[in-house]
Amino acid sequence: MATVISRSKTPLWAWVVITLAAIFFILPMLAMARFAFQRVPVALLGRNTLFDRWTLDGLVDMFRDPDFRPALWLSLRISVLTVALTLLVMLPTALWVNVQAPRLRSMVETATLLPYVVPPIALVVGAGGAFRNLAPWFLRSDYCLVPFYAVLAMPFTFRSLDTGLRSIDLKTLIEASRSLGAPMPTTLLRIVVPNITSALSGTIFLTITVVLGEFTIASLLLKPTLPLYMSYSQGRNPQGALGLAVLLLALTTLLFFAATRLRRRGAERYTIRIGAMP
Amino acid sequence: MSQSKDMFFESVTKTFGATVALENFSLTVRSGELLTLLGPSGCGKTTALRIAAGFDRPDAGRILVGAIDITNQPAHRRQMGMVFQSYSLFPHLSVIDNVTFGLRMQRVAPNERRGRGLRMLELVRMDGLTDRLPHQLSGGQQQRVALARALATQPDVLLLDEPLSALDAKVRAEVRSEIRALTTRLGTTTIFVTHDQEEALGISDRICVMNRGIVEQVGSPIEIYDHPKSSFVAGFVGELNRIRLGGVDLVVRPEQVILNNCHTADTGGEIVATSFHGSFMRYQVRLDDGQAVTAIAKHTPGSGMRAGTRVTVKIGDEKNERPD
Ligand SMILES: Nc1ncnc2c1ncn2[C@@H]1O[C@H](COP(=O)(O)OP(=O)(O)OP(=O)(O)O)[C@@H](O)[C@H]1O
Ligand SMILES: [Mg+2]
Repeated sequence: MATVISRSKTPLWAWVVITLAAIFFILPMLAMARFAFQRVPVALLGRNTLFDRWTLDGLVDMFRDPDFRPALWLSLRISVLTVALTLLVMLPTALWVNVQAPRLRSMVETATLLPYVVPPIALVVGAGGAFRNLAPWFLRSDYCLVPFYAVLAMPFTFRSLDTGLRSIDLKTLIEASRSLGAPMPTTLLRIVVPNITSALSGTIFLTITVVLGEFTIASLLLKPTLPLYMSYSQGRNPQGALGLAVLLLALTTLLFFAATRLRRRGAERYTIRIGAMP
Repeated sequence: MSQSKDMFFESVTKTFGATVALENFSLTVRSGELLTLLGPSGCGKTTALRIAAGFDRPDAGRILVGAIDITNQPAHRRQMGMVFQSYSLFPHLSVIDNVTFGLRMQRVAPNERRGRGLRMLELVRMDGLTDRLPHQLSGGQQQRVALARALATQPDVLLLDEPLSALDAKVRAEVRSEIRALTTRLGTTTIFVTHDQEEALGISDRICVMNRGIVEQVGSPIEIYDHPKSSFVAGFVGELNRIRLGGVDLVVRPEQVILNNCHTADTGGEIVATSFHGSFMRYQVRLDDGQAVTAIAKHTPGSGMRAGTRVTVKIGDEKNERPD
């Protein structure tokens, strides 16, 4: 039966590397978790207090805080809108580069690197100054962060989409679909998108990460986003703030693995179907 | 089955920057026939197909199917089936979903869709593998599914752009004869692009020989082979010897050259190289005056001659027209 298709044996050294990396990333998280969820003075956090007084009080206090929920919702709404804006702008751009103008790729790539070159503070001062005169209502809205975040995420999102599109024979697939009677929007939705799902989920994921982690711009524009709230509440409720950080980390990690798992499950379903074929 | 129509290229011109890909290109493809575009690399074959499919717009001229001018119709509105040189099946869809994609776009009901898809797959002998994904198929199987997919919607015209070039020789011959059988059976008007003259001669009702964006000659394979209208056609389709014998310039096909073993050292030449092709033998002969001639002789047991053999060279009885 042809059921084993992509699972090759992982060599021992790979496991060693994976374990070391895991320790490197997980140990600090465990330390954070102990600080956040144990009602033990920091100086006493040692081996012998490992199981003492675990509690969710800090986190619960934070959830009860009337400022918390609005901050969370704002960040979530901004995440969704930033993802939407990113896909709306970057997907057509990446498509255009791949289908029409492969020669302009390096130019577009350089352009998307802009946020690395321009520090966020300059971005805000520059763009902020311009908007303050032209469209003052824009900066007043909480959603004015959306375009800034879309730009900040650009270096990741363009690359992710571009890599996905380059991995398929895009031009031929589009032409095949069109010759079968599918107009361009249908072609994108039914043929292109399903073949770049990993690039798309990568793009979405990276965009959300940028939104949930950005501090400078939100603070300069005085928008009460989740990162800002976390930073301010550190003084009032340090355990709660750290607890939230741990929670966010765990959540994003879970999401990431879930996305990867889902894709693999899809692949396995196909494999099993063949296994059952005569 | 499908009601096929004539298709016309009317004085189509297409340039890419300084390159003239098609120049005043006029061609009629008759209903139900398989017409081959044959020509050297870069002569504009793919450009002609892409303009027919609606992927490129001509700079001048018109494309008609039946009486309808489709020059400005977008690709997805045209009734054109296309099979590409590279593998073009949708990687995320199973074989049957690939084949029924066009029917789905035409909003055919799911049950009928599946039925028609399965029938097409039967025709290309792929009905046993309906649920596989493209990457689980061999190259030949993928192109057969692509053919079924292109034909499932009963297109006005089927466009094939070197669909066999990625396949190895044996599979190539197999799929080629399948294409021929299928288009004949369905009566589909077909344009087949190739730069392989043997393939063109074998598969076509008619051949359009192209050179640098221009039609050199259109005719049946036999007409093209026996009565080439230009020296380009004569040279491109089939092999040709240009020799001067007895003060007369001759243009002769290798199979018209008759070699006979001779032991006296009179008029003739010497075999310098041989190659065996199963049913026939090829001989490279150097005439005594230095000219080179290629000859082909039917192979029968014991008939082969070795390199170094001295031979007399005669030209067969058939009339040899001298093009140009
Ligand atoms: N998109 C394009 N941009 C620039 N030049 C092009 C483009 N497409 C085709 N050409 C040029 O037009 C001419 C005809 O190309 P075309 O692809 O039609 O040739 P072809 O007969 O299909 O050749 P082949 O047998 O190699 O596929 C060539 O000189 C080619 O370089
Ligand atoms: Mg070509």
